[in-house]
Amino acid sequence: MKQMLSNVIAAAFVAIAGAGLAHAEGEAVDIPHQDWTFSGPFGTWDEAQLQRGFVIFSQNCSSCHSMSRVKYRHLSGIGLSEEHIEMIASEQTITVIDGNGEEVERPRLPTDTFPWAPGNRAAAAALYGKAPPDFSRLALAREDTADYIYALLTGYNDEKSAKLTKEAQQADPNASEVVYNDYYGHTGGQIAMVNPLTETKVSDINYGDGVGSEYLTVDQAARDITAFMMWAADPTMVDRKRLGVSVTLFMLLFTLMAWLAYRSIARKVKRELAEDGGGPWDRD
Amino acid sequence: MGQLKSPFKNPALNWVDSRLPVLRIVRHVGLEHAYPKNLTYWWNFGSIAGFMLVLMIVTGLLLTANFVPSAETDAYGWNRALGSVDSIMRDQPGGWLVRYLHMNGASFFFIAVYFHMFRGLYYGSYKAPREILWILGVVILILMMGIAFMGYSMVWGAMSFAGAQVISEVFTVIPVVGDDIRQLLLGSFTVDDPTLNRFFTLHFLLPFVLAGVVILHMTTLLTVGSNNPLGIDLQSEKDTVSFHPYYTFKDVFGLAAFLTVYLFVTFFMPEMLGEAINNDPADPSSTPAHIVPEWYFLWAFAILRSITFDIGPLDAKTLGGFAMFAALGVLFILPWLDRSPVRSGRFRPMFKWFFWAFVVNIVILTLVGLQNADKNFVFFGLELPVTTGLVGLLSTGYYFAYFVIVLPFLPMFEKTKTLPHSIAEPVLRDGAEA
Repeated sequence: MKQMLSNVIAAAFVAIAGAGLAHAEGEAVDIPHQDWTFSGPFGTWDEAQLQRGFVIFSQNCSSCHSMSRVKYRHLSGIGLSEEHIEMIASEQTITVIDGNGEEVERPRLPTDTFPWAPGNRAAAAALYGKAPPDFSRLALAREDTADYIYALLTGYNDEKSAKLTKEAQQADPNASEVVYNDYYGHTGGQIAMVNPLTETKVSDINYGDGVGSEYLTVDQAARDITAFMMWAADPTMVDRKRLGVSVTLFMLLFTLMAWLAYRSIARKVKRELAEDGGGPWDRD
Repeated sequence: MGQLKSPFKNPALNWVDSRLPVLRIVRHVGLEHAYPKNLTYWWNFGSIAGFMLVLMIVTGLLLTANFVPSAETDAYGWNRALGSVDSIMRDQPGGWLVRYLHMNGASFFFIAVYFHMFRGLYYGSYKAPREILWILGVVILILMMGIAFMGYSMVWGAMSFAGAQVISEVFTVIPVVGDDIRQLLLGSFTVDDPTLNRFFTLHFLLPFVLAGVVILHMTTLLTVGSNNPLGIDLQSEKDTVSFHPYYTFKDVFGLAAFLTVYLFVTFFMPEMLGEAINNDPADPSSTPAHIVPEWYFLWAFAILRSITFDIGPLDAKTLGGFAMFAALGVLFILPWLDRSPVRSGRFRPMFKWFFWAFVVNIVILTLVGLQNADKNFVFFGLELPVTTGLVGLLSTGYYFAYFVIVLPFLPMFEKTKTLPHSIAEPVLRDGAEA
């Protein structure tokens, strides 16, 4: 019986491993694994990093990408105070319909979303050819989550883009520029988004006071915006893991105690059965 | 039972039980009814499945309090259903926990039920007099599959939408009324807002129907008695033990071990068993590159896709649909297909091989369901020089052969081992065995 159980457990593990590998079939590229502060069962957010990520989002991403499920008030989760949140919200305006049915512009409140210039998906699609994905849950909506986002942001292949563009323009002089990303779609391919984190763009990021120039590198910016996107998609991750550690320890202890209790009961029942000759009998 | 006097001496218990005989049922089940004393850990999965059903209903009710079954889309492309799921996780205190418990609970409910079924298949728990017990179990499985499928649609993510489209198509293979059934299910000609509403209604209702079938399942169990690893009938009270305290403690231990794994997955890798792309809102204008159902449907999905050729007037799609329905349907007649008088696989040396091949075959079908039919099949990291489509067809063949060839005809060739006279006998003879 023990043999049978261990066979099944082994088969289950092999099946899970096989399933994982099956995902990597075909021309899929491996997404390099990165070290994140939030990785692992004891991971935590680096609030300074999330705040830098928010700055990058506001200055570089949010003109094309919405993050509609996240409100200013949620930024308390990246360590911003209420006053600070009110202040940065009020720096932006929003057009609303007032009590008289007229459109008025007012400063944004902590309960408002971040501004998004296109305004709706159809307009965004018209502007960019394809509506840029909403960021709210995007990091969770891609296999390999943060590792994928980081790989994509640092995976722009200028050489290959230039080569493909040249080929395309030889075939059709009016062909537009081809942008190639080594990780796009987990296979590498042509991507609609131009490199959002070139060295020039990164050097233009304005973090305000207190953030050193060592953070103005492409690699660091990619890590910071990725961390922020991961937080936006899965804001309760760290709380979840923290609770998970206690829950797991409790369950292990509880299981051990349940096993000890069962073993002691089993001994007692078996002794009684041996002495009395049997248990209840209602088969007649 | 109504004619019997209440068995309770305590006046309060006696008063209640004389009027509402629920306490005596509990007493009967727990203390008086005879259970085989040799049940192994394989018999834990029934109570685990029962626990998971309760957990799913409770977490489901909590989610219902904040869920919005609407496919209406806002300017950002977010539908209200996925938006409400996002709000539950982002804004409701503890909402993320309830949602992840429910989401992963479905997977672990299936894990428990699949183990429960494999145990029944190995030990011949479907054979007389347990045919109805088994059939009610198959009804539970089919209800579960329907509920899980509609539950996956609740999120209204990209894969929910694609899955609802693909699976609703399957119903069109039913002759004459197929298209009408599909329209009735979808409430529309395409997967749309009415579909989500219908699915939500059924997703809410059917678990209670399932709970009712579970009660019938347990009533049958009490009438015909539990099977056991030896597969022989109880002979005397020497073979038996009461449920409490022996099996109550054994079940608590088994449940705790199971929940430890379930909770570990829920807290540390809650998205592992799902498809990442389902965190994207449904978008009718773009379909995920690789449509796959949840892991617990992959074996059936592989059977659905296994047939790629037409036979006479029946096209491949229709045949695939029939194959999938037949794969479930064959389980209903299983008690009459297996001709061996010996229940337990322990005493059937040849059956054992076919049984374990059947288990491996289900794993293969699961991998086939996940992979691209035109590419070579990858088995545990090993790329085989055959296409996944061919492997799927052969595996589907074995699935049916197991039921309609192996089980009916194997007993003609198989020499079974000698059965012990009673459960007590081998226990007395070699102590730790069983």
